[in-house]
Amino acid sequence: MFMYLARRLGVSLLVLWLIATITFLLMHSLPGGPFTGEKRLPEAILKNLEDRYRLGAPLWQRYRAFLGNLVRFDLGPSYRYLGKDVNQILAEAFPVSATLGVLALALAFGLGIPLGIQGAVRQGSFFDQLIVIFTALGMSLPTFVLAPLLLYLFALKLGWLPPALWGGPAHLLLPVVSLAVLPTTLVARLVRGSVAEVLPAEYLTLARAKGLAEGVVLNRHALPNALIPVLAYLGPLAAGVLTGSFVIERVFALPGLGEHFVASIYNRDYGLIMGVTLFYSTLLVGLNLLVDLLCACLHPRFALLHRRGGGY
Amino acid sequence: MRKRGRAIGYLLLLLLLVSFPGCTLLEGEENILHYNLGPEPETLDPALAVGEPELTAILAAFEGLTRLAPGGEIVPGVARDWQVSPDGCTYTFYLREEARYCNGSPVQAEDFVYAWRRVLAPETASRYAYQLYYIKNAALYNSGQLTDPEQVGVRALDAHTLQVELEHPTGYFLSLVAFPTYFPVCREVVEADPEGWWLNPGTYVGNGPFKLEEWKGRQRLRFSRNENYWDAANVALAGLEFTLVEEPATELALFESGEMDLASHLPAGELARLAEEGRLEKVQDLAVSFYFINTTRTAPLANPLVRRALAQAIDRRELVTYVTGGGEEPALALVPPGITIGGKDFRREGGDYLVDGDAAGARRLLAEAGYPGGEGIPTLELLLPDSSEYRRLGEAIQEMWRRELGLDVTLVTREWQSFFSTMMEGDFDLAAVAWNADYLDPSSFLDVFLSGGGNNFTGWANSRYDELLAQARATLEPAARRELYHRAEELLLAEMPLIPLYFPVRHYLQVEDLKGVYFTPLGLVDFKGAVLSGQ
Amino acid sequence: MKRQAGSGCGRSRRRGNLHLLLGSLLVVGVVILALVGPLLSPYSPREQVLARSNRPPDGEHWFGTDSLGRDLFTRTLYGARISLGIVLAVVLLNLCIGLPYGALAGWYGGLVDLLLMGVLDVLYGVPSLLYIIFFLVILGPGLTGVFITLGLVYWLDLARQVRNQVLVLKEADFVLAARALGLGPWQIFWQELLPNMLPPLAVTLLFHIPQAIFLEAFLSYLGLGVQAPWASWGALVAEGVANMRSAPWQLFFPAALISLTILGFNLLGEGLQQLTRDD
Repeated sequence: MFMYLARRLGVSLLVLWLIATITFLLMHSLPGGPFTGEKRLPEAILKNLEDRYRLGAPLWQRYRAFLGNLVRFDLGPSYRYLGKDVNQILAEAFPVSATLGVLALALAFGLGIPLGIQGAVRQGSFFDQLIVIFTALGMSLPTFVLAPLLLYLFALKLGWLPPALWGGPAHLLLPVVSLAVLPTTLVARLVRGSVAEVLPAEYLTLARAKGLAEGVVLNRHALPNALIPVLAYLGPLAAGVLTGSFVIERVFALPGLGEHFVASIYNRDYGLIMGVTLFYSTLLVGLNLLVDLLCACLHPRFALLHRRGGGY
Repeated sequence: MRKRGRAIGYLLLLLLLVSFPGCTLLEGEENILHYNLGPEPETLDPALAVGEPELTAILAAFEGLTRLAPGGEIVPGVARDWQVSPDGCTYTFYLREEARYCNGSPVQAEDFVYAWRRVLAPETASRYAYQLYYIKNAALYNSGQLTDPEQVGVRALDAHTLQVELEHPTGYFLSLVAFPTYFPVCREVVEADPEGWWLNPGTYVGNGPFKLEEWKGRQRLRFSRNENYWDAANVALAGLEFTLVEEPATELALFESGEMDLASHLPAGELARLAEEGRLEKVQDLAVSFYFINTTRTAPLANPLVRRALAQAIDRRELVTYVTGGGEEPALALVPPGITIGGKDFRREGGDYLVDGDAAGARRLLAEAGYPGGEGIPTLELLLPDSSEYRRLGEAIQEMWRRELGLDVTLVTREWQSFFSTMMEGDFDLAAVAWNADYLDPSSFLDVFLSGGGNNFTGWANSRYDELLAQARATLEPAARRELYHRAEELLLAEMPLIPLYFPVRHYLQVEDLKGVYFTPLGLVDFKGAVLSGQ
Repeated sequence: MKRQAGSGCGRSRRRGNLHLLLGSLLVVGVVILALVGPLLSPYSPREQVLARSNRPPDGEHWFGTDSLGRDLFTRTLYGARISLGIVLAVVLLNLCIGLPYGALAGWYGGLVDLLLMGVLDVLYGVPSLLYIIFFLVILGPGLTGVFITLGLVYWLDLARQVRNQVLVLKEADFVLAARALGLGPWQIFWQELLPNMLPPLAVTLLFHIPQAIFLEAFLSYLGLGVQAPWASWGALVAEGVANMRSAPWQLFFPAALISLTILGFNLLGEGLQQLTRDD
């Protein structure tokens, strides 16, 4: 077990290093630079900027410096938010995204799992049909439509909730719901599919034959097996949801991490690009590792087959 | 307190399906103005700031030698009076003795000397250092060719007298010193933490009407009235609260739900509705929206007749009515209205150099140039920064050229940085820009088209034009200078290396109680004179 | 994936068929609309009458007009062509990469598998949104960029699925038999493996389609999609959102069509999954 863990950790580090290197190279092939403004600056000023922010150095030197900082867990300065470190920016933004993400995940699993189970158990019923339609509909509205619609309806038309900004609990409601819709439908569908798959299995028939009540069969025998694929899905889903959503943070004006995934590239904020990439990748790799270990403990045979990744 | 609030929040969220009325914002002091600044400021250091949100925040916290006031007037700031030498090259500013920083220390001539040298020092790497290049030896010092800061033409004659020597006479220098790059900074706090003194309200020491109380990253900036400000008696607001919301639609929603007193970044799609409701207000920006024409890439565009045909075929009246939709003024010349020289508005004096929406005339020009019906002109590329405003305008103009001239134009949109790189490489036929004035003078616009100028992306070069502008620069008498500028502009528009489109305006909404907010011609918002009445 | 013994549940099969039927109706309906619809309209998708901008739907303009006075009905149907075209191409592209990649890893196993799956692990670890924007900024927005970036996203899932299936199937009796008969890997793949993998693959592909529509819409929202004046559904919806309060029809019609299409593909996938499970 220890060997397995050590090997997995080693591989994870290798993966992270590869990702960091690829991103570093790609990032520097983008046209423009962090200080390109609306007007062309005089040569002298461009040179001053290059000197001060060490943008003129050859790529390999900067790569070496970057790696040197990285092993000390220092992501260096931001090129956009002057005087701030990338570490500091991530530390400010992540709690916001994490709060939203955890709540959205709770909602997604809290609602998605029961819905999925009910759908599977009462296959073909009217209720099940409703779930299929509902999940399909939940997947059919882009977030950038859903979020402004919710804002308009609940904040402006009805006036029940504040429209935006990071503040009290009421401010969380709309973003969490917007964020949770897609994961909820995904979880519900996944659970429905995998429960439906195990229901006819022999060991359940056996359990039923032993005279166990259907509820007990479901909870004690069917679910542990059926939920493994769902668990495997948790890693990438959580990494995606916890690191925030660009659209939702934009629409509701929340100071989360998601915005940086888009804005850092547009701003050519080299430090922050590396920061969000590594943060996301570490989170994903770490969560996948955790999930794999969990699966392996729960059910060694399934663990390898069902591993999947993703994120969006 | 906050922690507990959040814990309660989680509890409430467990009852997600139960709807409850929204809690209103914390009741602070009533006399605080709520405004949305836009994106998170990159910095609040006057020497380093370049963007609108940064500069607006700095304008609240600092004050220069002069201030701009409504009507383009220049009023005393830290300087109570000044003198200009007969050759227009030496300015002597007399500072008021009562000027103080918010920490109580006096604002002295030395502070300006320190601040300006700091902006120019190569290691500061200030992007707006060129705003100070009018000062003698400033450019040399900034480029490292001169290492002695003492030789930069700014000196403190005594604690309250500042003498500035310029390279050339500069008629608009008094408006320049009202710009944030020229603001004084408090030497002790800056030197204590040169890399981050602006991040912390405790060390963010300014001399302006307001004082930074809190900067919550990507959420808000809070200011209170600076009681040490020399003119604090004329500052009516108790404070300012700037939110940092990037999405215009969200800013509008916040305004409409009463959480904002002033909203000045409005979604273009809503302007027509807001105008209909009669709430929309607007102020002229000192800017012009135009297309650069690359005269060196595609052969037909080297011909001024073709370029004029392109410019004339556009119906700007239709564009400002239906596309930009905000009642902007069509641009039939380069320099926008709002620049006064010798007591007269430059634009109104100069008039128009172009006929608007003259498709028939444009077709004639095209035929005259040898391309009847647009035949022989290859597909042209119109380069656009990717924003829906530029895109919609581009689509409308593309269609006008197709319909009226039979020309094919492809739209190429690029995010800002790629857009700029592509433009610098000259990889375009037409490129859309909105040019904002750096200072209150026609040359801020006309200089763009100097032969080989850094921002002249057209490849157009004309020695007569360069000569006219050089003459104008050397002319002190305002009316004569204005005349030279007019002749240069006329020449430019006859050659047409650009297609003027319209003069942008800034739209805003404000609550009825609010008066006295001043939108400066350079696009900043000045809250010094703002009053929230009825509270 | 283990094949299940027949559940003997006729209702379930019927339901699968119902979903299939509904899904196909929707999808076929949208496809026909996209192909034939523009012929029905007297307007061109780029013809502007600025004085007629932002008109609500009426007899003349069934979906109203957009902010530049173009007929929204025509634009929406042209948008369908663009969006569906992109999605189809993207899905095929992914199949072309994912299928051989996964098959190679699964069939040869060992070091090849380790290596190929290792590369997948690296790619999975990358924040895809960031990379999509990377590529689009480097390539420039527009159709080519969208094809390439979307083409690089979904094959990961596909490759893994194919690899897992091949891993299981290559030990199956019929494959061993084919091997014993001396068939080469190429023939075995086409004749034995592919037909067995196809139904679950089709299900995955059908579920990827809505995601691809989504992603394309999101890219258009960011301004990185198809170049104006052409507009995909995503671009139309993004524009509609901006004018949501002044001209709600500009959002409603394209959004409704996206929703119906995604619903259609989802139902189709659901039905197919049901069928394969029952077999």
